[in-house]
Amino acid sequence: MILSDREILAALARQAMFLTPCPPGGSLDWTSTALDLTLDAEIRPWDAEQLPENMLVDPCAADFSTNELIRRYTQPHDCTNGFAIPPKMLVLGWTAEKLKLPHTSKIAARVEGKSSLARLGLGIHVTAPTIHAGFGFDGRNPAYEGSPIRLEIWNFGPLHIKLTKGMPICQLIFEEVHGTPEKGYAGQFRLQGPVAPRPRPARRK
Amino acid sequence: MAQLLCEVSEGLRPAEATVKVHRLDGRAEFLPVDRGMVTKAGRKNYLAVGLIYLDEAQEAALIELPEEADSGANRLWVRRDHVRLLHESLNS
Repeated sequence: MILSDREILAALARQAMFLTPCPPGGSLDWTSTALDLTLDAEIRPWDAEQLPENMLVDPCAADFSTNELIRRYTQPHDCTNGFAIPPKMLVLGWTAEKLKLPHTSKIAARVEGKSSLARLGLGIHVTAPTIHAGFGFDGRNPAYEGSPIRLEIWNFGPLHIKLTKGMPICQLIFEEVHGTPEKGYAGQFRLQGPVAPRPRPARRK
Repeated sequence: MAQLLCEVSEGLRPAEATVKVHRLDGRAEFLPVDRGMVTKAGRKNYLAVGLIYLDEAQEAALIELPEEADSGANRLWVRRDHVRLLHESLNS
């Protein structure tokens, strides 16, 4: 069940989840069922011209690290004064807001695009919108504010589009998790067969 | 809640880290996390994770990562001695 703005504010008030900074209820960042988040200054554009021709990556390979790949082939940019994303470019970015969803809160979230940007051809994630309970939560450190949401910003349209720090870039939708996740049920989770489970092919998001 | 032994390297920005953890079969898993999710204890680093199940007999633990790993995994079997329990959070 999707939470209304009132239920989101109630969940924040009872500390079932945390958003920092959180716009005040009733501000223009809210809709009846979602909350707009803004783009942080740091972005990482993928520049296809910097990549080896026909470069192949294997996410199933042992020791595959996406971050290592990205660090090797991209450079950080600061979009405080704007960054023009050309057609077909993928840019990694982050929200300025930090989210914390304790495991016990039974709330999950989805990050979705804004229709105003979608009309220009701008998407903000690549089919991976789900934010699970436990995101940004460290039970040992209650003072930890939470994690920003990483965005995969992709220009599908024909225009150059300016990305600027602070622009509303996505919206966050909260959903109640119905029921209790299976946890600690020995029959379900007992380690089967040999002690070392066999590697399995990587699942896609 | 629990913490999982991890190795930390640079992320894509100063506030982010790339974390490497080991599955029970020894294979490495990588994931990007906010640096606040990592706690340093002496020379060791620990990642905040969810604890799903402890198999004391097999000296293994099933944990849930705070972010999907680069392999696509969300839950991993790991070595029991790589896990620090914060509270007794297992259902009995």
